[in-house]
Amino acid sequence: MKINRILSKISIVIAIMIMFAACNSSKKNKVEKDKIAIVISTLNNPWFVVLAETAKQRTIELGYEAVIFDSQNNPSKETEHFDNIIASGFKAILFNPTDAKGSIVNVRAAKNAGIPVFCMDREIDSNDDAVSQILSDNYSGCVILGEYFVKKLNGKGKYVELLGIVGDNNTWNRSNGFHSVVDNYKDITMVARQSADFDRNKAMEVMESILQAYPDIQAVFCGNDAMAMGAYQAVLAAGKTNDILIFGFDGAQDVIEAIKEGKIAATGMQFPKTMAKKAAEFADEYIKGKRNFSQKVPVAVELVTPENVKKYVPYGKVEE
Amino acid sequence: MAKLKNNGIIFMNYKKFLIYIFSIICLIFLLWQSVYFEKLTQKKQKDTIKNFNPKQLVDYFWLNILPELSSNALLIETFDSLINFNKNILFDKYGNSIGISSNYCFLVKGKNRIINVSNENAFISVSSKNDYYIKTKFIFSNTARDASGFFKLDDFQNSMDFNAVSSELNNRIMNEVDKIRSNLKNDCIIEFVGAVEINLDIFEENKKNKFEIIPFAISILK
Repeated sequence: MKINRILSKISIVIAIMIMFAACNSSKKNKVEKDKIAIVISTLNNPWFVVLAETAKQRTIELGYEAVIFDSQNNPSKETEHFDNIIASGFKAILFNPTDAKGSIVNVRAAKNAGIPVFCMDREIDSNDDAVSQILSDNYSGCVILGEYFVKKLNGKGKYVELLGIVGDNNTWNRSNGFHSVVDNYKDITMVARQSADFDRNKAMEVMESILQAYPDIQAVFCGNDAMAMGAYQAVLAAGKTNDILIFGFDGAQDVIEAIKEGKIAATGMQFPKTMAKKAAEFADEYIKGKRNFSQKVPVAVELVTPENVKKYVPYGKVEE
Repeated sequence: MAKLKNNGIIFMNYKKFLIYIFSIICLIFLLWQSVYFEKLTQKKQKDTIKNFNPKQLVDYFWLNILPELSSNALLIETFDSLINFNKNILFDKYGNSIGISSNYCFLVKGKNRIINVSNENAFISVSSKNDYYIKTKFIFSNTARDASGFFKLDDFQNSMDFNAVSSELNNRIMNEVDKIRSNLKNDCIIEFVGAVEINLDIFEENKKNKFEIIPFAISILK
């Protein structure tokens, strides 16, 4: 009897041990992929959709699960996403900030939680929080654009500038690069300057108002292609497409087509796919142990005009 | 009675003890609210942001860094030889490029004769199939900044500050060139130090190329 009791107890212990071993084994058989978060300022702009989708695709190719978060140009929404990401065990964040200063706190929170952040396209005003920031060289791009602008205007004329989001450093890098050239020509005058927040519809409304006040302008410089298309709609409605040259910045699909058709004068080709892929690859290297990254990695911008548009496709070059 | 008295004394002492502890806690709380702690690196960062002055930085570069860089600049004839016959050495050893780009910048110097002066340029004679000209007006771009190799993007809080250096450096160059522009004439022999940029996507090997030199310094020898 005593032996039976001992044997039955031993049997129970062995059974429990076998159960645990089976559970662990089934857990090991299910391979769980690490997750990388992709936080984008807004998916309301096709350019950013390309940035997000390319980042996602490259992340998946590298063996991770990727989740896209849309901040809807709202810093509060962006913070909510970061809180969610930090709580959910993501291994890295590919980040397109809504605000150069306001987004620092989110990046810092992720850093403190041990999650590396890689900025794409837009920077934050901090060198100590993101692991790396892959940015377009907007200033140089708009210097080249500005030189072409002066050439197309033959050194004289009136123009309007539509700015992007004022809290985004890209807005000012582009504007400053453009003005570093154009302001040297005394016969070229800026008659109006207003922000349209990088938004097509807003740009159309702003441009309609400006055209009523200044109907005799010769050109519009827009801080991005979405605003350029909005400005074009307003110019078209006013019947002035033969009188006003429109310049954009991004290399978006509709503007590349519009340049081919002679509707838009030029744009600066950014390379969102290059930036997105690089950010994903950096994240992968970081997860695998690499730690020395350049804090800022600028990506050159190229001028697209009717003369060379055949070399380009939306968001990139023909050979990419 | 004595026991009661002792208990009273103990109670009073205990009460005093609690009051002292409470007072100390209040004092600590007030002091804590009066001060804040900040990492030294963050404080230094903020000071740098507040104190960034592109003009001062460019002045420092001009006086303290440029002279030595100038003495080590590549002779324009060597530049030309390498670009024609050994491009790889030229780019690997002497080229400065920032980020992901097809643009490379070089620091060059020379003593050459002016062969053609226009409103914005002065073409110089270099024994080469390529054309070289000194830009004497409307100096833009980041060529001068990037050719030096001294200014690193990672050293700046943001790209706007980095670009402000370019703008300031170009202004400085323009001011220096303005002093001498009207004296630049055909057949003058000039000595110069400057920056050249090559875009590998545009550069055509085995063909005649035009190279623009942004001058840090020009002097007329005769």
